[in-house]
Amino acid sequence: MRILIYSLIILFDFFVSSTWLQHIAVGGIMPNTTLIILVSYALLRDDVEGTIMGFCAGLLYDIFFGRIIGMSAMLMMLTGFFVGKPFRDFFKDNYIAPIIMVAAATLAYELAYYILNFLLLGRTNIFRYLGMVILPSVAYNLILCIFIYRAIYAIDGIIFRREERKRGFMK
Amino acid sequence: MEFLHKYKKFFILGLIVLSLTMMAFTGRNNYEQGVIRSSVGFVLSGGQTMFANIGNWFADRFDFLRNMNNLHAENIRLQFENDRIQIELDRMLHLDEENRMLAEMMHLYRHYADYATIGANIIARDTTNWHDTFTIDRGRNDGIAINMAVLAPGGLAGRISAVGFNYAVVTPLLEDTSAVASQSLRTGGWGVVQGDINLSSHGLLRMNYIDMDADLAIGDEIITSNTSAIFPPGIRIGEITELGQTAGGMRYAVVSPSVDFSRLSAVLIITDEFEFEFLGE
Repeated sequence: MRILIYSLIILFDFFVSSTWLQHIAVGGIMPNTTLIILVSYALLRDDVEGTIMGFCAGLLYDIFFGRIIGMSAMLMMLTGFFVGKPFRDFFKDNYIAPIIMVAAATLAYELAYYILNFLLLGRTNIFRYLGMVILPSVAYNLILCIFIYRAIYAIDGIIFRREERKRGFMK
Repeated sequence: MEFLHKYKKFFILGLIVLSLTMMAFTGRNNYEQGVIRSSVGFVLSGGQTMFANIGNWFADRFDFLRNMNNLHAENIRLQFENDRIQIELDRMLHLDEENRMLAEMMHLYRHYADYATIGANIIARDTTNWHDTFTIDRGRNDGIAINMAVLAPGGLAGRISAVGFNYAVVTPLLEDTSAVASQSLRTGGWGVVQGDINLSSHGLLRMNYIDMDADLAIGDEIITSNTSAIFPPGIRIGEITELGQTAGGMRYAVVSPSVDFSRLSAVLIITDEFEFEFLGE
């Protein structure tokens, strides 16, 4: 049930961000909604589930757009793992933790992506890339993360209550 | 689930090793779309076409509402333009005829005009900010193959970088890893037009490795060179808007592409294998 719903969410996000989101790009910069969904989910659940989701979402991107299969899968998976790790017991109603984690995760993810795909090809002008691509996308993600976290929180609550009820009947 | 939690470290390590293995195997020949990639792409591109159509429908309605006021003025302007183009076209047909006659006299091959092309719609774009690649709704079953040249209104748009059964991925000129051997139409001065992520957000390209004695000036039209391995010669790329020199003394030029990449919605693909013409000569 949970797996099915989140698979559909990831797939829907993939379609939307490759088609509709292109229309709302500001100055050529788009938000990375997949990353926001992943961070929200990893925060609400735990590191292992974040890892699985990150791996699947990254693999989806790699298979369709990627030049090298496994690159985004590995980066997304590590993002999911590290985000899920330290925040077992925080107040999940609060927005501060997700906002900080989305900012940190976007920064780390995009920086790692730059290093693996551009720095290693000899594009050493790191501050230019930081200013033109990485920081704008961090800012855009920060704004969107409030809405997406809210939505994932609600969806997760519904699934959680259903699972609890089912478990109750079983006993 | 509990099993995974218990052996968390091994699980994570295993996935990392799996990713690295996949990278090692696909990094070398990233051109081949295997069976798995192709079939996943087949399903995904169907969904993307659907979503793109819905999105375009709304975008069209929105555009219509926004532009309703100046439709009349636009109409008159287009009519004038149409008349002008009609006259121009007649002149061109005349010149074309003359050109063919002269070319036949000189036993030259006419490369540009006779290419077989196929039209395609853009259905999806890359979801990260690092790449400008996009997907089109034609694939192997329409005769598309790797490295075919992609044209758009104005000139060269890019090349095909991956092909699935019913979709293909286009690497546009703006992409950071794209490079085209090119020359100035006026003087034949030679250089390589490359994408540069810092310029591509302004829709511009950069011409590097310019020949030592190349004579280039601002406003020069840049076309594909006949030294290019994959692009047919003589296709328009853009024009020079800026000339400069790097700290190391290398000359470079900023090229404004004649294709408007931000408004691209359909492209033409040259399906001819133009290389064989040279071999046959």
